[in-house]
Amino acid sequence: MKPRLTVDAVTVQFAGLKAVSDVSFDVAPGEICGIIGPNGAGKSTLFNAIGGYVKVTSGQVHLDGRSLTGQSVHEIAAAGVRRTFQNGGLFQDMTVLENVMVGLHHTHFIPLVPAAVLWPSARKRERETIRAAQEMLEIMGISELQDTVLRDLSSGQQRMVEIVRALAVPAKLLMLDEPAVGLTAREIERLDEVLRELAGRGISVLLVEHVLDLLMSVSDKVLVLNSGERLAEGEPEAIRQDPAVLEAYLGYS
Amino acid sequence: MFENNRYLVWAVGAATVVLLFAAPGLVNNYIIFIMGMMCINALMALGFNFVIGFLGQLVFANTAFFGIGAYSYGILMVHVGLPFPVALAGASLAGCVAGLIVGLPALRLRGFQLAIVTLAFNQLMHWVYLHSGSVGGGPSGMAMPEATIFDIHFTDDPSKYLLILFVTLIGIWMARNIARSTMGRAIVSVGANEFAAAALAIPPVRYKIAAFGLSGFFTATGGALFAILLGRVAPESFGLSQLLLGFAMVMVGGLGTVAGPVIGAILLTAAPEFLRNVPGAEEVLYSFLLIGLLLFMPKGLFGGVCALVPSLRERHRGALS
Repeated sequence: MKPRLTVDAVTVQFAGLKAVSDVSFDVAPGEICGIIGPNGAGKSTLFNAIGGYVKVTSGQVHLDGRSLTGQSVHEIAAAGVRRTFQNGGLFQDMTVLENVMVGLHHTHFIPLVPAAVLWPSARKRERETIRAAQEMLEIMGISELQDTVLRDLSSGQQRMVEIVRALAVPAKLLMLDEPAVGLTAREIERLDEVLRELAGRGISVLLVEHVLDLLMSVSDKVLVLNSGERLAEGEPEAIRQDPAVLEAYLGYS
Repeated sequence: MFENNRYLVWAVGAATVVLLFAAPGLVNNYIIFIMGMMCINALMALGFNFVIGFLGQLVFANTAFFGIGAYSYGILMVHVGLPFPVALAGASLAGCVAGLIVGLPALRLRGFQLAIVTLAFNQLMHWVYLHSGSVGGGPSGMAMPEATIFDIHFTDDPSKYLLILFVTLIGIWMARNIARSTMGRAIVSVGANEFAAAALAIPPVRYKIAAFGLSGFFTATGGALFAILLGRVAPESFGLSQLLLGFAMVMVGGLGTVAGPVIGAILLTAAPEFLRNVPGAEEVLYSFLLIGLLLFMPKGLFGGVCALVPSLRERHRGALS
């Protein structure tokens, strides 16, 4: 199968410091790839490089054969790369439904003038947007929250909303930055199910997570970073037993 | 319950609109003039809100947009001799263009720097009005020709008021529709978190500029109506006090909503009239009002009411859908 995401010899350098150094890997459609490594290993920088938040010093990133290198954040998002943030990626003063509708901006755009005068085409489009957002919430089983303002949700619920919103446009690749932070054991189980469902729909997932049980259980393969370099890559079981990984990372835990 | 509420809101709204249009037969011309000013200030505050409320940026260029609207209307009427509806539309568009231009530095600046740059733009425009020579009449300004269409002459205050009310209601309706559309959601999301918005395929640059353009559009429309109501434009109308007034209206009413600035405009236009007989009371009242509100209702009067009655919260979705 042709890979969904190809990261080819990517290096990110900040003022002489190599945060990510010559890292290559790919992710197939519907594959869940976990990324682990000690603090400062370059996990977040790698995410930011793929998403366009930091400039890639050298190397290439491709999504379905199309180069993402050098594109701006919103262009990469429009191409199908969506992400969640470690904290604060949601719009706290909006309701759940409105948050998801913001995520539909790209596919359900309504031009200004028809919107301002409530032209029938604009109203129809807006109804379609609302329905699409409601369907997304239904799939994730959080329909009952649609009119709740974000700040009134628990952190677990907020995380679910953020994932739904990231997926609102048919995402090809979902990058989750520590989605399990602040979640209860029950919510982590739910997250595990949700990620498997998404993979089943052909969405590729990149997962950075410190909750190793979740990551090892859900990932098809695991990439280990250390000091910005790729230390190992393989199936979760193989990674658990890799001596170099044990020394660099798991050994400390 | 909700459906009943909705009909009640419609009924009250319709009754209010009828009363507003019937007002010239009910109250004297002095009050009609004040009501005209309320409409004008409502448009100005609405426009102001697009950048300081929805986009959340500290921008003080709005008196400039207001003045540009008034002067553009005047110049299009006096020197170009356009029919007044065309001049009015031209003034709104001129404000929109000014907004788009002032929005450019906002892509690089934020916070205090942006506030200072836009404040400087206000003062620059004030200087331009003063030195406008024969085009804008310099320090003494210029008189507006009568606004006429199809034999209807907007000469006295009641007829001007009806015209201004009509345009203002359309403006409020449009601002509300925009706030509840893709554009409104995108502007609010960029204001709340630019990076998260970009991660959802929303181009932040486009919507920052758009917020400024909309701000200029609504504020300049208010400015043109101001020129119509007063019958003349002059530089002294577009100074620092006008800016503070607009700022206070948005803060008092409620940032980031459509109803808030309108409520603020009505209250702060009316307040000085009640205090006419007590010299100095106006400034004291404003100060206490602002201090009190910022302490106890940081989201303004409308925001405070929404906290008590959550169903009043303004949505960012589905105008009439």
